[in-house]
Amino acid sequence: MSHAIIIPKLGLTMEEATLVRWHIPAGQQVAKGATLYSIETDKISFDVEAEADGYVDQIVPEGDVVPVGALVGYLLERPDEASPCVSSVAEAAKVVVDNVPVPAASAAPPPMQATLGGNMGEGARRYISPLARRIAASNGIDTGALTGSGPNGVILKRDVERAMAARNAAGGPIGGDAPSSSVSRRPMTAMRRAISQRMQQSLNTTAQMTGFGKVDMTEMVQWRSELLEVMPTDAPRITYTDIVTKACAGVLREMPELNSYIDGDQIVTWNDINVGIAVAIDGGLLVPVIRNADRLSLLEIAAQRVALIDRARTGQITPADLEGGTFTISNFGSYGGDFETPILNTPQSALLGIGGITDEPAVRDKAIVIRAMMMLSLTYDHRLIDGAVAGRFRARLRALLEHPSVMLALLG
Amino acid sequence: MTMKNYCWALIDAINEEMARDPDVFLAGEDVAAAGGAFGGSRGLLAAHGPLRVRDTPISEEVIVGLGVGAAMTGKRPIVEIMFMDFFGLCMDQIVNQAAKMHYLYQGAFKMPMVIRTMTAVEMGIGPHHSQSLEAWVGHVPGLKVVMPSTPRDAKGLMKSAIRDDNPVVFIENLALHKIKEDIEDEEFLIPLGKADIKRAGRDVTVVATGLMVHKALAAAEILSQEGIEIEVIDPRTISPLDVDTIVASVRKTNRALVVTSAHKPFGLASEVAAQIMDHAFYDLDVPVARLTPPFTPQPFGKGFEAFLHPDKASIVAAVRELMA
Repeated sequence: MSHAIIIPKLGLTMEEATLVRWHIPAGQQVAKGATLYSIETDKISFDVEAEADGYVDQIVPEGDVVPVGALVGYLLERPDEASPCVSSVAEAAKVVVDNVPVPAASAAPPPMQATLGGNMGEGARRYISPLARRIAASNGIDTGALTGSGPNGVILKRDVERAMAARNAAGGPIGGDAPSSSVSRRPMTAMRRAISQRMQQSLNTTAQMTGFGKVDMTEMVQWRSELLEVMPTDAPRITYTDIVTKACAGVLREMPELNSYIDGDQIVTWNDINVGIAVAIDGGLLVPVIRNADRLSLLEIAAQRVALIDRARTGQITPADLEGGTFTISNFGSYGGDFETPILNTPQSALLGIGGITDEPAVRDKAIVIRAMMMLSLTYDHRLIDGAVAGRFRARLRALLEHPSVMLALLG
Repeated sequence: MTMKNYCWALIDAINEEMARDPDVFLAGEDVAAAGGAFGGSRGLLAAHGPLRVRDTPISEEVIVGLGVGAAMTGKRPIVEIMFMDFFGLCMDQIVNQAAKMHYLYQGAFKMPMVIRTMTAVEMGIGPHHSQSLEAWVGHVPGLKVVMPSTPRDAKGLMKSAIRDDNPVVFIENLALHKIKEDIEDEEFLIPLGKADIKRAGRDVTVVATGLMVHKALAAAEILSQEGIEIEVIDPRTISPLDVDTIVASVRKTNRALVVTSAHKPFGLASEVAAQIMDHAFYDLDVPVARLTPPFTPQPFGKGFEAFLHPDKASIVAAVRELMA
């Protein structure tokens, strides 16, 4: 009785995955529950466990990109069993039952939705063979730039291969005259490909503007150090990221214009305030999401942040942790940045960058004093959010961050 | 090695299995005294006696029914229905009895029966003797369906069919009865459910059955001169179908053509195309093509039949189109 090994669907938007590694060699026995293979989607790596005992029959080799639901192998009852042949009626019936993929329990539907499309005119549709599409995607070839040589202009494998050959002959995308011995090439990881596509798509589809504002954090620094002294040692350590998250969530509740996005010719406003926190990890970046941040206490935000970052850095993050963000915070102060012009995490329309807190000379009551200053960098989609609105957002944020007692009174 | 034709290879297979296993017997119209309507059981009566090689009345339902009963009581019958076109007269016994016994009785009964039958496609003998109806039985779970294209395959598959504990519909091709092949003298079996790559190639996978295997091989010679190498796969057993071999080939060639004597609607060509879509969609550079006769009854007259059926030239043309 063979058991089909099928690529699971791990999130609503997941369509394909790279089969990165078979942990059990072909022909070897595996026990139910053992890690059988690893897949990598555009956001996460995931270990898939064997759903049954059996001998591993691998159909798809390591490195192949396979769609959700694809059959990648079998768990065979005997090592010499022929995989798909069903030799009796009873077996045929069982295989049918066992082959039904078990859908992943999906979390609450994310408010985020794809914003691609809508910009392809009639007659602009391009036909491309499934094989050519797959080869192009895994080699970073833009099929939009190809001319199809197949019947009716269909783009075929040979067209993609021709484009790859031309690219290689030209010495790759950076500079045409670099001698080939002075560069090294490696394929992008799925995560790098996703980041690259999303960054490019973000800049291509929105009108981004970044405004800066300085915040006097002196009182907040004082308040936090007093708070940390009295907090129990096993409580999550409250960071400036948590404090800014809490403040942002409160201001977003007052100003839903920044918790919105443009979809075609409509403006969509999210009812929930889900704040994503950009987290640098080995080889890339993840943005785990703190859901309903406006309804959480500072301590709850800190606890969730600690858990999410831990999962992100140990590869335990799940697609549900990454979906549904409506606003993003990026703390580049943690690596020494003061101000930057961050790129929007589309379809979101606003992103706040936090710089480092440094002692600076400031003028107060006509005297020069030393204050703990922090720079805010707010990037917003200028199509939807006017400069005055963005300025008001920064001002409200500043009012809260400069006066912990006010923030406490208003946000709890 | 001995040169054997398709018909004698089958007689040898049955003869060897009857000698090996006393439970094997043969029953059907004219199989005993006449040695088969087309000579397919010559010498078996003399070799194994009238108890084990029996002529029956002209009643297809009775012929298959006696096989079902005998198989349930431990015999290994080979029952012969002269033409597959006559399956209409015994479909209840085949589909509702033979195919279901093992299932209905939770495995208490085995059904080690071979239903030996024939298509005379492209032999010019009209709408009642020339149909390719393998889809009728390929559609039924519980039946295995074999349709060999060469003498050696016919012998090895017949021996495996006789030894199989499931009902096997064994479809001979009258048009192939006289083709010859060197066959080893030692005993051999060919497993059911295993396709054979009749010719290896890199450019297009051509899946063909029965008579079409030979036409595809002839087309391959012409295409090879143009630099196109087709891989000709004969599934040999259409149920269970060897999807692995077909899919592995398509992964290599990225193009597939299926050629059958049977019609497109609900037929083997459609099933193979669907399996390729299921398992190798992202390896396809062009849509899977099917080449079959048009959806009409089989005409009388060899000329008209040849006109309707795929041939060397139409296979060459179809492959060229896939390579365009």
